[in-house]
Amino acid sequence: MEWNDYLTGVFLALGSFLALTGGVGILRMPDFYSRLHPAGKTDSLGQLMVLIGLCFQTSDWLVLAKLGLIVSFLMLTAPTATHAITKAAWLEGLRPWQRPGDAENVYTRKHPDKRAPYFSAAPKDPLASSTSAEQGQQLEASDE
Amino acid sequence: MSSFLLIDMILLGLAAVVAIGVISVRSLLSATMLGGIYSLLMALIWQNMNAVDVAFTEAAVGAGISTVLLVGTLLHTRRETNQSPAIHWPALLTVVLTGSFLIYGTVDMPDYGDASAPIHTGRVQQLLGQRVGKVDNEGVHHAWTYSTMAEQSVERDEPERSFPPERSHGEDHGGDAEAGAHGHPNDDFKGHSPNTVTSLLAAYRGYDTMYETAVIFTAGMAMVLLLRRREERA
Amino acid sequence: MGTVLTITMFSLMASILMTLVRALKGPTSYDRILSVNAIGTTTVVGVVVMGFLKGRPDFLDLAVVYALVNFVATVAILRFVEQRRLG
Repeated sequence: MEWNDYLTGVFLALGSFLALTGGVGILRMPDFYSRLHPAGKTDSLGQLMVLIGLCFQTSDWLVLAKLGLIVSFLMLTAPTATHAITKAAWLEGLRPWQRPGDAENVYTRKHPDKRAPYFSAAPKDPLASSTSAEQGQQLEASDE
Repeated sequence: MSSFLLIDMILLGLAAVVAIGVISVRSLLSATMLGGIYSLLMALIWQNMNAVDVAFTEAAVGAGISTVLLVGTLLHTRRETNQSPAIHWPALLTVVLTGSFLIYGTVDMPDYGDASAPIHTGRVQQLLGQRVGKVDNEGVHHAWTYSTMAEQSVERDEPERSFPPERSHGEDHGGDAEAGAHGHPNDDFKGHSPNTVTSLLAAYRGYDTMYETAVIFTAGMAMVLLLRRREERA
Repeated sequence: MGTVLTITMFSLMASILMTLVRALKGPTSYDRILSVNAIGTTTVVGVVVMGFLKGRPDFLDLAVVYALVNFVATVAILRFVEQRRLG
């Protein structure tokens, strides 16, 4: 084992760990908005770790250039896709999951004076319609 | 058990799970997206079989174009299937019988990479006796160069080529007697590949590449049509 | 080195399996879109790892195509869900 093999091992282990925890998180998180976190982690950091680790395994400049191209494509497209999915879900009216007992449609817990809505341009402002309890319901049955 | 076989089995199992999910889910949009996952998994399987061109086509067609086309079709239909999933017994019986016959047929197939497979045995003696690319007893390396072919074909007065080329299966095939009658002077295969599948692929290489290029071009066109800017219709 | 790559490949496939369960369960269509996107990214990485595992890093062209096609498919589905029209 040369030094580059050890480096590759470390990076691949990190990438595998992130991929596995991302899979567990996507499977176990309670609602759509919290599932975004493990999915984005797998998308960006996990693939970056694996691809950087593989960079130490080659001495061909063409292969290195292709690896850099894949990394840059994924770093451009994966967060964009995640953001687009989130925006589409918010605009259709999907609201974050809340623990029982929390105030209806208030999504900041620690700072009550910073209760601005996350997307101020959203047509369905959560604070403007905070009296309707149905607004906070998730669109669970919309797809099944 | 090699790790490639294990990876193949796991990927095929995942693809089977996705296929069952596609036919059992009610929402048509979900079925479309699961079809995208199916083609992604199939591309990994193709790559595991070293069939990179098929994986390319699967990427462009399966994950890209067919998803876009199916979503475009969904714009003109409903989003749900209107009948509850039921098992159609004659269809299931037909599928199971066909699959059983196909699996029964694979039992007689030679092992992967078997040197005594029928596609190799036709010309494998020639393969062992060929000189091109080898170093003979005098230490002369028979390299494959275009210049020697051009020189020798000028002075040789080449005869008409015949397809398929006549085979010579003699035991004393050293390649010296009629070497270079067709194709390269040192090529004992007269310009043809010893492997049947490879020679067929080489013969139809142009069509193969042409249609693959057409597929990639179509994928690029769909990408442009999808991602272009256009003014908003009211 | 092949052992490390094989272990990475297996963990990627385990991640695909767990994400696939979420894609089959739903419950909303956005969960499914998110799962398809995550599986696409994992497949791109899997293609690269498989290329190195086979000792043929020429397979990386395939991963480049995949990274782009996956993004296009996600954008197409989102345009359908959000605007009800394509193009």
